[in-house]
Amino acid sequence: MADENRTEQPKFFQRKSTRELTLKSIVYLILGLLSVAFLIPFLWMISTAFKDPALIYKSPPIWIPPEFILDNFKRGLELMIPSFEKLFTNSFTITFLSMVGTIFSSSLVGFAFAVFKARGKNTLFTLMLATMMVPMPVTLIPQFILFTQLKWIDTWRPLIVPHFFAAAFFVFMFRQFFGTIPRELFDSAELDGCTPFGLYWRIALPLAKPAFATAAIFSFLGSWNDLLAPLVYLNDLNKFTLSLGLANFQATNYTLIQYLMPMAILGLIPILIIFFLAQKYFVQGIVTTGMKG
Amino acid sequence: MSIGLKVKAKPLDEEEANRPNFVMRILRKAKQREKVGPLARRRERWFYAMIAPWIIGFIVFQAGPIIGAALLSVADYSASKGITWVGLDNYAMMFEDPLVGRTLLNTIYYTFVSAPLGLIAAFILAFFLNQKVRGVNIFRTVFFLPTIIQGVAVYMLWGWIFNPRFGLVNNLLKLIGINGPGWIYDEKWAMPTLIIMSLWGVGWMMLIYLAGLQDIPMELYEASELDGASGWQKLRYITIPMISPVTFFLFITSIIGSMQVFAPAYVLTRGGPGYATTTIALLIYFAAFLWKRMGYAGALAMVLFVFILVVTLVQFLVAKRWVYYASEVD
Repeated sequence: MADENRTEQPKFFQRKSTRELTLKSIVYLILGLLSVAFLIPFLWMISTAFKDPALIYKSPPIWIPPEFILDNFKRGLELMIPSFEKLFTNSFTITFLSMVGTIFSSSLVGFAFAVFKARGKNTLFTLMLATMMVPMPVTLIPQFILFTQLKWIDTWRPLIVPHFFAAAFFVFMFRQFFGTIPRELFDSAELDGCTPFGLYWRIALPLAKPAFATAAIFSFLGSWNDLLAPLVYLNDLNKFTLSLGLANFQATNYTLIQYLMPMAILGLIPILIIFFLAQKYFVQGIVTTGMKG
Repeated sequence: MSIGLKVKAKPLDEEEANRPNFVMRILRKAKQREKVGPLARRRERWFYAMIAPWIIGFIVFQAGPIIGAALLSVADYSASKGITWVGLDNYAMMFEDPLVGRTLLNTIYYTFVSAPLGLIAAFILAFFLNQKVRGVNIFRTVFFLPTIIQGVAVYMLWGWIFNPRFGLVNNLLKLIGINGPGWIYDEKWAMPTLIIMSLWGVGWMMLIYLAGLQDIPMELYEASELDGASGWQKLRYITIPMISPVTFFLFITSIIGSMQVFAPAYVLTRGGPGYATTTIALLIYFAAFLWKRMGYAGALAMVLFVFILVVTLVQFLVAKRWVYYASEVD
């Protein structure tokens, strides 16, 4: 775990004071340049979206438009099929239900792995970790056939229901988290007559708010950004997710940059809001599990 | 070190780790079995009841489909006709299909360029962030942000940035007198473009590296300073070996991830121009859902699966040569 309060850092660039100063400024210069490189795509997107379309193709590029116009957003929204609100609501519904399913099922399984002793537990845990390595394209087609047999194609069910059966990544995360709760807490609650499910529901869950937040965010992003599953399972435009709608929009209007960029911005806003609200949980989650969503 | 594979390898209960040897372990296990009381048995039942969601999900959505993919690879399937067995025809077909070799090479190209470059970039970012800089949180946010938003909207943005005629990159290149290439519209440059895009998302690896760097004991650096080690020597003989378990973990996961890359290529190039960016994952998608050759797609999926398993296994075998675990010495 990262120790946030650690003040001492290994000294790579600090030997003599003048040299130290130059090296330090080099570090800042490099970090600054890299930051610019990382941010430029965003700035360019914003600049394009608010520009008069006539100025978009100018060379050298115009970074700050003489006037900021909202017309591109308006016209872009008119071109979205079915409508941006529809796609947004669809994505939100699917993402929300998947998220609820993921965090409750995964926390329950993670709790069991962390707290109970049982024969075969370690084998099962290893097996579960191994499933993280199974590539998505391998299971995709048999799952597609399964959902075809169930007549779930062109419904949201294939996108939501599997999330209610715990995901290895989140189970691992919750197991790591519940492992840090002192065992005595569970032991004494059990002596007081708490049922094993009660240990999960009444003791572990209320303590697991940070882990819940982390899992919720990762699960939200995973569903929100997912393209492959909606692409495979949905045919009806009215059921499309925002990702799928945007991919569609890009494919049909790829020359209309002035409308693509505003729609890309609108697509990113929900994610950006979540990111800035919950940045601390992201960092925690990645550092404790060592993985991305 | 609390990240990565070491966590997985650590047994949950101390008892288990302290068992002296094989014989004792069997004896103790036999003893335990006798001692399993009603309470322990009740807990065991609860354990299995609570992990039931995962077990069901594992059978229905993981193990079942893997067996399904294996069966499908020797069959053909259509919604109207159901399953017909075709033996090894699908595999035989692969040898005649020039696309298979092409997409395998594309996948290898993408994976073995983007994963190492990503690791190096992430390490460099983490290394500089670890130099007692002010505003580390701001830099961290900036570098991490692109990871989170990887999705269709971002691919749209890259499509515009790499637009050959009006895009930002060629526009800036023109200012310094370079005629930029066609990027995603150029067979040679399409894959490098996707790799550059992937580098924008190294933030998650950077965070893990940063945590790993902060776990390296300060004493090691202090001791080496007394011996007069230079900055480069400290990096080469302390930081890089000490961080190698993290590198190993990130390498394994990013290789597995890269070999399945689908969305950026699908959104930006649809596998083109020609088949320059058709990866195995894209070919599987095309075969199954455009050409409706489910059995063939199943066979391709098995190839991808075996490919990933072999690459991962080789990495674990080679790891002994370069991954250093501090605990092995203590």
